[in-house]
Amino acid sequence: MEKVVFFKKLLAELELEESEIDESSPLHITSLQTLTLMSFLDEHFGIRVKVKDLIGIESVRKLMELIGKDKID
Amino acid sequence: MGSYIHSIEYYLPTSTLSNAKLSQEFPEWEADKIEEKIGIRSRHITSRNETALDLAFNAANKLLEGFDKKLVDFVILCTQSPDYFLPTGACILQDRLGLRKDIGAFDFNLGCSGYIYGLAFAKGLINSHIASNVLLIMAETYSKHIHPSDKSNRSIFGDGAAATLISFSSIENIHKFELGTDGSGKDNLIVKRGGMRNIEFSNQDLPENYLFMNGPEIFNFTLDIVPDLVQKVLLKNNESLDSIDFCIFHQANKFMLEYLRKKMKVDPAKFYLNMLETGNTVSATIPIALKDCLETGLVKTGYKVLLVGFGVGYSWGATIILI
Repeated sequence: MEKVVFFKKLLAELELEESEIDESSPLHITSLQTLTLMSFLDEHFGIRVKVKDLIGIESVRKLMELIGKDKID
Repeated sequence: MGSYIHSIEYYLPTSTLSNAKLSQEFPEWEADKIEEKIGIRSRHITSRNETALDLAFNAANKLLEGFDKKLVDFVILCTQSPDYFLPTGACILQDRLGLRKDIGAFDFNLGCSGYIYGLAFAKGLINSHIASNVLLIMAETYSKHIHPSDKSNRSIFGDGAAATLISFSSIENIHKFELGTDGSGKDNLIVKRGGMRNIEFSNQDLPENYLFMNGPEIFNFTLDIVPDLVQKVLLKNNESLDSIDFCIFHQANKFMLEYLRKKMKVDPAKFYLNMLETGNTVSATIPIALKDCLETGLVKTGYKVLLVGFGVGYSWGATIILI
């Protein structure tokens, strides 16, 4: 997935308040957003994560590292 | 020779808990967002002295208004909120409902898969000539298992009961079953207090000893299990999603069901999703949904309906019924 598309989809799916995001944007995942993020990762990247995998994911960059750099251009 | 669903009735407690009320208790919990996410606006909650057995009695009584109770020859109660460890709730119901004494009665402890297992029991009893009219009752009061500070689970679960009469038929209307179990998931949906394993917990008011649900892990479990379960039950019955007229899954929550539906590419027009005013009533969601679908005409005579239950245990099951 292209980076720009990824940022847009993440922004929309998690209903983030920012108007735009990039790698450096902070990410504070609420309990309501956890399932959304899990389904987002499953649907778009075929990645099944556990809650413990999301601990420490406090920025978009960290999330991109979790997904794998090869999956986002 | 076979069996069919003769009738269904359900009963919900009169008291309700709305999202607005939850938002008053937990100001950070926005009512609109809860409804949008989980598809629940309100849920029915039992009063202090009202139990699952009371709900079961009311649902069964409603059903027996339209059926000669002398013909009921088996009672099965599914609950995880029993009135007592012993005696068996179904035995008490036999007496309260004024049913014959020469009938069988037992309880079984399952959650969201319970209705599928109950249908399997009933079909087995009928096809083996043990019974001809099985009264299957699902009754649940998870609200009594949830700590008052647990806003997430209070948002999801509602109390309720549904009674189904499964009767002898010249043809089989309850088709083949696919069932499954994986007890390794036990810790992801559990009530640790109240049983014998941690007997000291019953005297402690700690939230962690009440109902605990690891929502994300349950979500992963359903994604792992449900699509495969559906494929297997369709194959076993020589059906396909196209040949099925309507699908009723356990009404867990809107987010999970919508995601499963999209993942399995089920036509939204034949996929039931409605827990807006009831919440997740655990084993009662499928019969409540089926009754509502029959009343509103979403499900009609002659329809092949796919029923799918999954949850605590882990336990899961599916079957196809002909209406």
